[in-house]
Amino acid sequence: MTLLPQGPLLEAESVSKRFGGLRALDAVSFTLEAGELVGLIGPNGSGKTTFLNVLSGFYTPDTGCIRFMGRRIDGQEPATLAARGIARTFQITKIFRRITVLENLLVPGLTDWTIGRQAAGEKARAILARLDLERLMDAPASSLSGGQAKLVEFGRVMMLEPRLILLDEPFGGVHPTLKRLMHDTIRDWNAEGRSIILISHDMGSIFDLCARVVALHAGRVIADGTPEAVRNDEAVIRAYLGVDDTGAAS
Amino acid sequence: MVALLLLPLFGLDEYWIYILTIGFYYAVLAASWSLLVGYVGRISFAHAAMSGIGAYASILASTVWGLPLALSIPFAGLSAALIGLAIGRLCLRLHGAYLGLTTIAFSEIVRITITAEHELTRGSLGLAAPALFETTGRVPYYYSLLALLGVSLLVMWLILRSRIGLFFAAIREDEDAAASLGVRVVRWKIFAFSFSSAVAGIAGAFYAHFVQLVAPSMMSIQEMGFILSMAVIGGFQNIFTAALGGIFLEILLEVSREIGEWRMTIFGLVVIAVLRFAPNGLFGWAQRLIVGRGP
Repeated sequence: MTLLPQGPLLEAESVSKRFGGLRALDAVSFTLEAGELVGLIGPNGSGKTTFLNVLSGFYTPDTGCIRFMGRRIDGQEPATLAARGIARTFQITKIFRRITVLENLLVPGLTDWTIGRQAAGEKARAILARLDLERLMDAPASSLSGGQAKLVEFGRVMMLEPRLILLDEPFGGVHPTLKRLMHDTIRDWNAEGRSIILISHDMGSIFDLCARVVALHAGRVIADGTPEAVRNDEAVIRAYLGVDDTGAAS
Repeated sequence: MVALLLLPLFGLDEYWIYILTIGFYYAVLAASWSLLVGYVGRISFAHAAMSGIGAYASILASTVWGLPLALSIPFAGLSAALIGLAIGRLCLRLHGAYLGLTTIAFSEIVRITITAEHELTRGSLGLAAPALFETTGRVPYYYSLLALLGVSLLVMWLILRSRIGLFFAAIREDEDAAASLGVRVVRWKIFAFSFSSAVAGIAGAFYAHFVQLVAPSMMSIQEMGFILSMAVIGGFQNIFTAALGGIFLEILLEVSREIGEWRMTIFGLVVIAVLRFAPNGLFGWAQRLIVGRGP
């Protein structure tokens, strides 16, 4: 599969987003190359999820612009961006609880009107088998454990065959066995050439999976580099320890 | 459905044929309302108004423009669909109470406008409608409304079985998740609103040409309350149980006529009890009891 376009896959230029008096994103600039897997870290309230919401079309930035595969996408609707190749998961899992596991995967599969129900069903079953959820495909999604629900979100992402995957805290409260499966799946996606932005408080996972880590604090990028460099970055340490620029604890 | 087809052949008297015909009208309204509320998760109190719009549109198209009823009835559906489309575009980005209140306001605006307008609609005096059939017998109307109910249920069932039904479920469960997966949330909500309005409009037109006199009261909040009660008592999470609720409640309204307005109080209490103890409605609850699963 060829998924590598010319130039950066994603470019965010001076993106800002305010909620009343709160500046959630403050002139964030960020570039993602095709095939990159980047960890996005930062303390609570640093703007990570807001940034993902901007990238996936749920928020329109107040200023700045976002380009995906060379075309501006800021202000476009989430469904449009999904069709253009940006898929995401949510920090608080959002599966469709009153339909079956298989139907959860059919929803994204059938948004492409050129694909019939049978073809979408076969694709969904193959994905569920890959995620070890095949035996649960006819179960109502409400019967799944938290970790299994996260895997269903992964399955729905796979149905879209996206170029860019945005993962928001996928490992929260997940059993270690399922977490290993998630790690393998993320690596597989990346090996297929898909780009991934991974938000997680699980630093072990971030450092295990990502060759590049970006740290946000108070809506600003405070570090961008290899996991080792970011881990030892003074500004990152201060942000996580809650120490301000004068050295006093805040 | 087979039993309903055979009833007139077994000597059902004209009075009960009339009641059941009205019941079929309400069944179409309750089922189409449940498509919007039970499947898409969007509340609307404008369904009676849409039925009224259809009724007036068909009468005016046939009496003023001289359209045959075979064209004026589809015109009624189209009128209600277009108004539904406009209302949908205006307010389906709203949620919960805001959407409900907007549809109440719309419904009242339509009712009051028709009441105040005398030249075309004769206001609260009501507007005479040409009959659908030349015969004075009620059996042809019985079968017409039954056919309308059957066709409406079939079309709605086909929609709900298709990918569109899956999109509706996704929107009902979580709009953000649906949008993130490529579902055009606003587009499908507007489609559902517009489609259910069209069905209500066609039902309203059939009703008008059956009873042959319509008045703005058919768009009242009380009338909307009936439709809501029918869908809730039958089970608004399933178009078939909602339709059964429509027929059942119309019969119940008729047999309890002796207790006068108290029956409304009793139905109100039944709606509350059903919502509390059988949220899938009486027929959903019965189905669960009999076959172990239900809507």
